[in-house]
Amino acid sequence: MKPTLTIFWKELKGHLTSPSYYAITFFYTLLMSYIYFVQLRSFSQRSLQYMIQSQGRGDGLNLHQQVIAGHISFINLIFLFLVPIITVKYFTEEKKARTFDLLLTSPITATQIVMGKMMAAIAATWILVAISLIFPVVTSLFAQIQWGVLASSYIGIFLLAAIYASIGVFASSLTDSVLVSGFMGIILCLFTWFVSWGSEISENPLMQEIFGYLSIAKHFGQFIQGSVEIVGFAFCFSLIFFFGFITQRVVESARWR
Amino acid sequence: MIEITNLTKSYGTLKAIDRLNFKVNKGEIVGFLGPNGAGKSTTMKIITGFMPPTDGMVKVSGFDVFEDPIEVKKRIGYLPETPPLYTDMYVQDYLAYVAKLKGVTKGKVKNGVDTALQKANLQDVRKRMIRNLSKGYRQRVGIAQAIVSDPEILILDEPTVGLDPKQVAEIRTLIRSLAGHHTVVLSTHILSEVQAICERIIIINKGKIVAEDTLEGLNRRMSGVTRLVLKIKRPNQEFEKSLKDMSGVVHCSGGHGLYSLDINDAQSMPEKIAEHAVKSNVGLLEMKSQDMNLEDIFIKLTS
Repeated sequence: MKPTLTIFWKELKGHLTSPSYYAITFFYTLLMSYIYFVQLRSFSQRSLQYMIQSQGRGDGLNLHQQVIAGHISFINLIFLFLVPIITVKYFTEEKKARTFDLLLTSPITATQIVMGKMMAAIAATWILVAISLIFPVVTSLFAQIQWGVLASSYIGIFLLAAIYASIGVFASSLTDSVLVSGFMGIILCLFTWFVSWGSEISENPLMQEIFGYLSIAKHFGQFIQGSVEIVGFAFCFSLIFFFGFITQRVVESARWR
Repeated sequence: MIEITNLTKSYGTLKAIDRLNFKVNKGEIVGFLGPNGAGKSTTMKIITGFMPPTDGMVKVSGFDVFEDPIEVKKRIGYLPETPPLYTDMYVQDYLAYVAKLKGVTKGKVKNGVDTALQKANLQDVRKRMIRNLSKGYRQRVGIAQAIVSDPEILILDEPTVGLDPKQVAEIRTLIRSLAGHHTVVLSTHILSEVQAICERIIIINKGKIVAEDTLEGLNRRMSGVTRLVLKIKRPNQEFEKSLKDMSGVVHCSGGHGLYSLDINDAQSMPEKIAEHAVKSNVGLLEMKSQDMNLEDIFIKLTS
């Protein structure tokens, strides 16, 4: 466990002392601020119209459905591209700088290397998710927030970010080219969203059900709706574990290739 | 300490090393000498567990490199051809990280880093970023990372490459001072380097060991042959032939007034050759002795 933590702290510190991580965070926050502001503004206008039309009857529009859910889906959209870019350096740079030799000749196992790096990648993306929490929290100062649904949505996006991070680390273990690995990471992340399309060409009900369970959109959608189900956790953790496992195989293969 | 039996590594049909056998004893400094592409780095990579062999066995302190890689790696400090440096880290942070990776316990990390900095003479740059260091300093950081965990065995792949003469001398002194406490295997293609540092020399060429001896033993084998370069003004065939036929001349090559002669007696032969040249009236312009280079040693040792 100790070598895992050594690698984890080194990688995380690498992010937190690197100007590029701050630059990425800055532009990500900037874009998110703009979009959140626009969404909230248009929601308040619609809400006002609705109140006038309904003459104060009814519950009003749902803030979570119309703003927060959009906010979280938007984070997901950025992360599809951003996370593979953040994690691209994990193995490509080690291979380029020949520091991979150092890791492979140190008394640590491939599993420890991969676990340390994956934990750091997940932590680095979770920092970005945590920043996005500022928006709903500030909104709660002047509007009513449904905390329960917000929490479940954030569990969803935290898990999704962890999946993308594990995919990104896997992609970076495959080559020593930043460009190729970044591109592969993005494609694989996008692929997780399109796998479920397979259900449309399958006529077998069993296959359709299997494809349905593979659908990240379905599980993520449930978290956003406020329903926290074991199957959602199981799906996310198995994906993270799967990509962790194949990354471990790739790193281990350097020893016998 | 290190036992190598029938070690073979092939890349496709190319055999990088071919059935190597040798032993390194505790506290020794062994020089691995060979031209570029002889298989020095490959052998070292296999000993460190970085790369598997195609065939054969490596044992380090009684542990098989491929049965117990972790135990072996704990005991080895390795400096690869390219020092493995994280350029965006500070020198002391980097060394602390390597020490932790090598399994140095928490309380001993700081001490290990300080000792390594002091041994590699890096105290002045300990708070500098590796990116901003010159090549010589980077090489020294590379050596510092190899010794930071105080390993029993040091594997140094061309440790003095890229250093200026003063630094080369410092590093050689450093490596010599490590003997006894550490077992050192270092590779180089510079003959004078092994002569300056090593107690025992293994010469490797085209993946095979061509000689394995102590420094004195090798010198003894090499003694008796000296090379002379001879330059004359008026070459003629008769003189060339007489040179080749002279007793004491082992080998003669060249032509058109410039000859390279291997002679077996450095005391009397130069005088005889000079006399012969003067008598033949070919216009002796120059005569000097020349050091044998690695290639010549291989030719001598393998023939």
